[in-house]
Amino acid sequence: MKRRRFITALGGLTAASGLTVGSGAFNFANVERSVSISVVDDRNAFLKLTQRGSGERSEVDGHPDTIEFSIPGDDEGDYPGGNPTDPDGLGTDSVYRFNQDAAGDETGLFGITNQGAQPVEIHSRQETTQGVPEVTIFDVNSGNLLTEDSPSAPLGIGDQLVCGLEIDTHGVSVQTDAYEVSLQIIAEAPE
Amino acid sequence: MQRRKFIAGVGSLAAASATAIGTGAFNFANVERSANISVAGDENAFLALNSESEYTNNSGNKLAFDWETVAGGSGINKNSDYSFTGLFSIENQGSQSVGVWINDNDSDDTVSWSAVSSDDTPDFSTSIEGPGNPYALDPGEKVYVNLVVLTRNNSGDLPDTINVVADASQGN
Repeated sequence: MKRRRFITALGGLTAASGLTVGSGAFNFANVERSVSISVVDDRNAFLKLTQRGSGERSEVDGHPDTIEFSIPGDDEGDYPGGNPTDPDGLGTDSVYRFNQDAAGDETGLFGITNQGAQPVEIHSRQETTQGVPEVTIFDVNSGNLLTEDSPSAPLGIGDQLVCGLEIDTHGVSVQTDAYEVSLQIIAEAPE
Repeated sequence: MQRRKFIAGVGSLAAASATAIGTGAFNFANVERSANISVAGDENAFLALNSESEYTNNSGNKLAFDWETVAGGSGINKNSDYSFTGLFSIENQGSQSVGVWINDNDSDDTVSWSAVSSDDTPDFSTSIEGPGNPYALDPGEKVYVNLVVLTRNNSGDLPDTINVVADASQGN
């Protein structure tokens, strides 16, 4: 077009002219990235929890699958096979340890496996212990209770800790309904 | 077209006349120039985002949160609280100081992002969340990002997106 040629001639600009932003400087940026964190079955989580043994003192349930404990186990009444004892619960003012499920077919009641990216120390905590059974996890191999003041040795990446439950019923009344206790299983990287 | 001839005619007039526009005036211009803008992967961008842990990666062009560990973990447990140190870092590869912060779309503060100066520091006290918490980075400086996730006593939503924002007016 004649008009374009006229404008180019008037401007006298060279062909190589380009637009430049001040080199390296930026004064604003907004970068969007997706982050979605998955909530997964206990067996696939960074702190993997697995039930061990038959008898359902420990079992896996729910969506996603999570580990839960029942003492006595849901299938407690089947064991020992052929001559089951069918207990109703723990005695009061007592301390019990459960280092395996009712069938006795596997060591430990449950396993804790480190599927994270650095070694972690394991212990358990229970928020409320007044008038309810006090539950603490213990290392089945060493027999050591794993508490906040005395957690496990650092558990390496990919390693498993085989655990049982110690239950203290001092000051806990006998009753028909089971006590529902919340147990916190805690993994912490040593500093 | 009559118009083009008219304009060409104006350029060659030696003296002003009743139809002259005025020497040198124009009422329209459209000037085309090239602008070369490079788009780079997150590690090499002006506002660089670097993976610093197994839970994130820079294998594509965008920092990604894959939440997968070599040991086989792929997520957090239900009803759990987790904290992660040094998930990724934000680095200022520009030439002026900027303040950086993170916006996310969680609800009920299910997650909180904090800033630390090295990649293995379990300190979650310096929030880097929201425009009210900018972390100043001089050119060449980087900040590591820690994360706390609370789902144990919290029914809020986990985020699916974060926005990393940099603003020079919040720099040093």
